Amino acid sequence: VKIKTSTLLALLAGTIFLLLPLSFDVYPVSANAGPHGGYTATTDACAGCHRAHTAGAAGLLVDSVPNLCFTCHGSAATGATTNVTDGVYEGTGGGNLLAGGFVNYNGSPVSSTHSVSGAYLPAWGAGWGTAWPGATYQCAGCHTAEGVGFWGPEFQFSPTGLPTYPGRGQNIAMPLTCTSCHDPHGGRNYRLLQQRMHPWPTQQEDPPGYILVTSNEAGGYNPNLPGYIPNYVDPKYQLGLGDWCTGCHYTYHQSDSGTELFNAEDGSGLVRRYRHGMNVQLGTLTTTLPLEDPSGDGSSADDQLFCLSCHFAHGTNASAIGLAANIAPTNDSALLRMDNRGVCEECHKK
Amino acid sequence: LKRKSDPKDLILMKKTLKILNWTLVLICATFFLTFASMTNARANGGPHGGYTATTDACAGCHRAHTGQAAGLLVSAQPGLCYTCHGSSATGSVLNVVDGAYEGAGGGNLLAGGFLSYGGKPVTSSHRADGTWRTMWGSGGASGECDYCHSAANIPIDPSIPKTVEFQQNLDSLGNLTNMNSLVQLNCSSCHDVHGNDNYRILRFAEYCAQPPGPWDSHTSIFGANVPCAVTVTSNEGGTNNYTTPKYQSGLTDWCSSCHSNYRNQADVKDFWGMSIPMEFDSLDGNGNVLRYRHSATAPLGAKTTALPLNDLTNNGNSADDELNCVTCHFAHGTNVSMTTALTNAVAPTNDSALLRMDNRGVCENCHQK
Repeated sequence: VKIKTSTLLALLAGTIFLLLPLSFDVYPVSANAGPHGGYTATTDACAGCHRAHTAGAAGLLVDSVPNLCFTCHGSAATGATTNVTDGVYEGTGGGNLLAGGFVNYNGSPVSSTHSVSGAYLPAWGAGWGTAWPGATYQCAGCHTAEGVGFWGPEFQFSPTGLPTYPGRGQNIAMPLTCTSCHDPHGGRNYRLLQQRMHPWPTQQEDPPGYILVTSNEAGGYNPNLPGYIPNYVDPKYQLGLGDWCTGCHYTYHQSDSGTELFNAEDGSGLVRRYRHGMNVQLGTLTTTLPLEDPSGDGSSADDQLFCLSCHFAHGTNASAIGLAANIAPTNDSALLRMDNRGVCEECHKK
Repeated sequence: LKRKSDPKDLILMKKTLKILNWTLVLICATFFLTFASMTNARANGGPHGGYTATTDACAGCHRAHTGQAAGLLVSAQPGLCYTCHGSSATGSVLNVVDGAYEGAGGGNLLAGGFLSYGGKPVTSSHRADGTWRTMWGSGGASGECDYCHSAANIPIDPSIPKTVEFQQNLDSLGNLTNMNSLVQLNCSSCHDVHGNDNYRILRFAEYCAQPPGPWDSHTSIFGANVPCAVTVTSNEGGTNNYTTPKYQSGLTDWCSSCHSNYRNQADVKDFWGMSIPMEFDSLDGNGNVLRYRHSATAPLGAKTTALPLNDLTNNGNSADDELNCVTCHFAHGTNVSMTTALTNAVAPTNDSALLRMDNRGVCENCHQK
């Protein structure tokens, strides 16, 4: 049977055209990729993580978090290009993940991380104020066994914190896992970050109690927008992360605690605290550290410092030696982006 | 007999010379690198300067989220400084509280001490605890520091930020005046804790080298805000000497940044080349009158003294050596006594005025009357 070349080409183009929507269904072109959002009426994504009758973990999960997540995002996993265990982007071009890694980063073991194991660890800086008893409890007021709310005792008091009021409830211990920070079902936020964070009310609270985190990545401000293309290796932060982190590290937004005394668990007890400004414009300083670029116009005077300017979100391989060693309360490298206090010098250039 | 050179010998000789050349280059490079790194370490010791891109020094004094004093400091001054420079501190060989050098050989610090010196309690000192104290000899008709930096005054140039680190004092009649301003001194008022090229990392970017005139060089009302810098140098030659004076130049200018009138022998202001007499109220009971002062920069000439001098040419004791403020006064504090009625209550300080010798020993040591 003789088939003309032009007919073959037409058939090929038609096949590609018909298959394209199917490929989008499996891998939506947005950060709500894989099984994380963008669901159709007959989605198969639920089966990626859940079992209705044979689940191995709460939430009808196939396995418990973080192991379930590492099935795709782990070291040898092939289900995603974002290998968060080693902090490696394994897609086209490769590179180091912006968030760092949980076990390794840039080929060397990490020296500090956010926990994903569910172990109870203090959220440093959580628990605002001492002006009135309710204030000092903050998260603890609803989310501990002593809480008055109905949300369940998912948090505990810091094991090394102050046992009584005032100060009790500060640095509350949280059992962090992947889903503490990321919404595995997708959402409007950069990197599917959870939205309900009770933030320090500043720039990106929307609506009250929720935080909107946006980026300057190609295709739009957030992963819900069609054409959104995440960039896992080049910083494209726009707004919201400086607020988002304070959902837990609440007081770190407060430059001067004034009469709201805080026990930073550094041996000095409940005293007035001074903190580095957050969401502050860089002004005349210059830096190669990542900044939030609210106007999306590249490096300019409106760029502002935020938590990830100095810290990785997942984990760092930076060292902390000499005067930078064993600084309480973390007594480690505190997820800093550079060895010792390189992040200070990178901006202040003393 | 002349032996004919063997070509093999020539090749061997050339190879040997080549190796020797490279060895010399390596030795020179090693010396250069060694001295370069040593110089950095000396100029700005400990956490005070010489920062690398991944310095740990910031953590010596600062906390980004848990600071307990303004400036994100671990604790307030002078307590923070005394963590290393205090009596029983081991972080530094400079125990400024007791005025003791605790390095090899030991000795008394050139600056004196804040609480004791030479094993005795001090009788007067600059204060490092931030209490409001009088800056004797500051100000005058131009207002100087107060003019822009106190709550009472409004800067002529609105582009200059108004700060309130000084307060007006009262004159002899009980009226607010810009003379003898009040200031809250602490360690970093005088020392640049982040290091610089000045002797003892003295601050040099904020004060004026000369007593400001009506239109001074610090903040010109004609436009430019010109910060003046005071360079203070020594003859230490790259190795700090905390017990033997090695002053070269600049200290008198530096001290007169605060004690501005003490640099002038008489109360005159340079007004565009004209010397204008101006009175000063020294708060000694004599009111606002013309004042005459000992030179603070005079060459010693034929006189001799055991007191420390500026050695401008670094040629040891010679006629060109100059008097400077620390010739007579300690910078931190003194243990000397004012034992007689003539010396024990001399206004305005009514104390031992940080002098280096009992009573007026410093006068006699030069003038030998």
